[in-house]
Amino acid sequence: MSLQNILQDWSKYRKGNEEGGFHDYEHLWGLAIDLNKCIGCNACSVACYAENNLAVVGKDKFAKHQEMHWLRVERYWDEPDLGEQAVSDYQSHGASFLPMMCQQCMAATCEPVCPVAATYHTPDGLNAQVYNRCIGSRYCSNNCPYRLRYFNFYSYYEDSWPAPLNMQLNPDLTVRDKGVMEKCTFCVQRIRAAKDVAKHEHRELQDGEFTTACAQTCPTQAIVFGDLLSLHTAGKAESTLSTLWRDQQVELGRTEQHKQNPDKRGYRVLEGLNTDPKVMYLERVREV
Amino acid sequence: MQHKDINEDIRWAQINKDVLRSMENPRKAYWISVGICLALLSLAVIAEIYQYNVGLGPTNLNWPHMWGLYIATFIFWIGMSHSGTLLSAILHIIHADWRKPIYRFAEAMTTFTLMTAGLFPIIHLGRVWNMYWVLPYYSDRGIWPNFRSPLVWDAFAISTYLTSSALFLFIGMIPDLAICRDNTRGWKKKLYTVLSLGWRGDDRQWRNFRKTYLIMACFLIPLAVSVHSIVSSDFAMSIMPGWHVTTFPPYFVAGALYSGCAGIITLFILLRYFFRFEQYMTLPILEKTCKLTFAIAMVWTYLNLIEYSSVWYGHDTVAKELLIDKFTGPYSPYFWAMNILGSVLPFTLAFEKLRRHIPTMFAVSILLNVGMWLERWMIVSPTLAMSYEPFTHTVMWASWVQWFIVIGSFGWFGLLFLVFVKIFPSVSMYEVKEMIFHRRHLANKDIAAVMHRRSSDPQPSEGH
Amino acid sequence: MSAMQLFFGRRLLSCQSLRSPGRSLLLPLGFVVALFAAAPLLAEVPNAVAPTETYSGDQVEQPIEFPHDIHAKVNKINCMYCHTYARRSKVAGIPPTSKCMGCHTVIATDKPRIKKLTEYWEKGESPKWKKVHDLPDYVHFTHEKHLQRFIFDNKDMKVENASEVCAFCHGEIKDMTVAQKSRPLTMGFCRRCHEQNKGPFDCWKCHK
Repeated sequence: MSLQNILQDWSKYRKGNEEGGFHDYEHLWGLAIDLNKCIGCNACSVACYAENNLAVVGKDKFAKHQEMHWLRVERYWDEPDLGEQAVSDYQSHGASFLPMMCQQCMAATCEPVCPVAATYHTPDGLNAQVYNRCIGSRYCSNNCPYRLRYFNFYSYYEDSWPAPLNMQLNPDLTVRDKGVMEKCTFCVQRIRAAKDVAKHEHRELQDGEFTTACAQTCPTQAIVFGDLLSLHTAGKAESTLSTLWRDQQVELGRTEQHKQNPDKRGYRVLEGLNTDPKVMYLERVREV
Repeated sequence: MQHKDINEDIRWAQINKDVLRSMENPRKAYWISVGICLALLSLAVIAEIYQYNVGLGPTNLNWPHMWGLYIATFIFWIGMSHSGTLLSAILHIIHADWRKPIYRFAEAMTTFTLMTAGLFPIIHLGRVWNMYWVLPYYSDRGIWPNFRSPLVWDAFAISTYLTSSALFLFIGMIPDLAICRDNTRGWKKKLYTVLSLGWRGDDRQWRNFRKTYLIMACFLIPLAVSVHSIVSSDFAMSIMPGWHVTTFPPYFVAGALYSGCAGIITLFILLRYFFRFEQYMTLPILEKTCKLTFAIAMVWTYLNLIEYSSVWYGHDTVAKELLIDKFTGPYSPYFWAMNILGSVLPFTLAFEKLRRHIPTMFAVSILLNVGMWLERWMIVSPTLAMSYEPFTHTVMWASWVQWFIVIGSFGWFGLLFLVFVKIFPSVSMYEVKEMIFHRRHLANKDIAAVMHRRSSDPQPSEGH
Repeated sequence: MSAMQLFFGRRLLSCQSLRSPGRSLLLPLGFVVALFAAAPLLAEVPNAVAPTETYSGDQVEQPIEFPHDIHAKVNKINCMYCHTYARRSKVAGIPPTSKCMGCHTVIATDKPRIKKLTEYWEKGESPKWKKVHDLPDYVHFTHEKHLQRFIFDNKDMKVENASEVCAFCHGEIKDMTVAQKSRPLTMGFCRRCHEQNKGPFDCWKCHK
């Protein structure tokens, strides 16, 4: 972060939020996840491991919670005292799943606390994590209410990708070494590649031109990836995602959604904390 | 029973002799202490080398528990440092002269605890070799640290505080170093000649000395308060339940003074015993320190209760859950221990009989610090265990790597302190003389009238 | 480039980067750069400010001592003739041996270097060239974007002069036989050029 960033851009980002406009952003990448469609198969998580060079830490370290799954499918069981037939209810309803990836908050709590500015907000509205700048103070992870930042407690490359598995590593992003914080980037390497192609062809980026690994893999197509810029900036091309957000009457920059139609299922996790996440979940509807 | 703070009939040559004697010929006990400290320190060095090579994995730190004992111990040591400033600066400007025989080692404690504390943020980094990136130096890359981050403020605050308190310690020692210079031979004489900066004790030097000392004291007081407020903002600036507490700055400062005063009592008793400083570190002074500790303990207890009640009556459900979990959850034994040691145990300081019983005070002061260490741990860990995301609720118990480094830090501090007491006078000779002079002559009204020229000064008839 | 510019131009260019007070330390640095940057005269690349810092890299021993000077300077072959991928991908690429043989089945076949090359060709192997300009793994650098900015999208820029653009980061390869690193290629080097040429300033543009 240069002094210029601190003096000008910081206030710019802050003001952008207060004025309700994101006019300085080039894109606002976001997600929508339909929990009705989610079957908890973890394919998204596997895809994420493959795409983003995530280290497989092994059973021991996983049991010690030293894993790094950028996309985790959280599993919640219903309270067993649902009714008289508690046991059968418990089984027929099964678990609820909540795929959690970095929420790419617009007012991210991880950003201001990083001592070396290794995490910052990009003009794409993403929370960037610059691995080579990270010194591993781990403050960002402590200050993330979603706990979506993971730390390299060891150097994994020899254990995780013994030859010839190292050949499957994605060359478009770093293999992180010990002592570095990492997190979901919304597959920034794909964003970068798509932008490069578009720029080469002298055109704007098209909606649906590319997608994240999780959205691409989801067998039930529960995950939709896209640009939210048209939600808040007039004159921008409407994307599938912003149509979905608009339809669910979920807006950015709010701590509480005022929906005209309360049946709409869209919500954002912990939005009351004013982190302004860019991932919308569609509540699961169940028969009781 | 001794009631006077100090024996007013003591001869000045005797003071020099007693203090200089403490700096000579280390006895067996000294070398044993050095050995113990070195052993503890080597544990930490082994653990740190291991951690450096392998990564932070073996510490058992894990995904929600990104911080652990390192940060807790960091706050503990920073806290310890504050009482030196309390004794040497705050009590200096309010003319509490009973501080004079004991402030020197307290100020040394400040410097050395800061030197210990400063190591912890470095040790806890994932990539230690890049730690200097936190400092705003001009880099070819054109990037700066993130000035919004409390960790950067920490780096500024601690380095400023360390520099100033080391300077304050040194400046306050100059007249004593001159005494040492005049009474030693060999390499020590050379050392003191350099360090005493040509002190001859003439009027001009004394005038400048007093002025500098006062300015430094005035500078150090707000600095000390701000340092621990900044350390508290590591937590208070965050969004997490149990950390996001508005009262944290005063709470941390109170806790800091509290553990520091307890630390002073411990060192007071040790120095009094080993160096036979009964003439200077007298029971009435110990008593005064105990009373001070008791008062601060009550302030801390009050702020602690405020924290609980503000959570309890607040609307933050997660914070409330966390509070209940602190009282009943996996960390509850330590939480209760902290509350009992921190809030109930200090009541022993309220009884004169106990205050004057040195072994009891020694045990109590150590237990108070155990309580204060637990307090810091109870700030760091339960929040990480029980925050917003229920999926991540886990408990972490530190591994030997963390414990070795924590224990080793005590060895490091002890080593620094042991070296200090043999090289520098741990009782301020010139200030004890001043104190005796004042006390002696306050009884003599004629001299007192001459001495107290300003009308605002207390007259000899009042008090004392 | 006039003599005035030669003496003062670079210093003034360094001053251009003084947009923020944080870079005020660049001023003395700029003087130093201006004094020591004995960069050889470049043909002008329009709409661009050429970086001036120099660096002396190790002499890398290659399987065949490839003479860049004969190809690029004497025979005026465009850099992108052999390094064809530069215009369309991240890496510039090393030409396959077949490309070499395209000319060298008939040209200069009696020279020892070409004989060595023919040996490789006949064995069906390619010479194991060593990398000279290597960036760390966490850096995302694309040749394509830079060539687009400085050559293809650059008005008044002639493609024949492409080597002047390459020289921004690779130095005067035209004057070398085996390529040698002659620019620092550090982050500071990249940053200054991005400042002067209005390149992107977002960390994630170059770090991955």
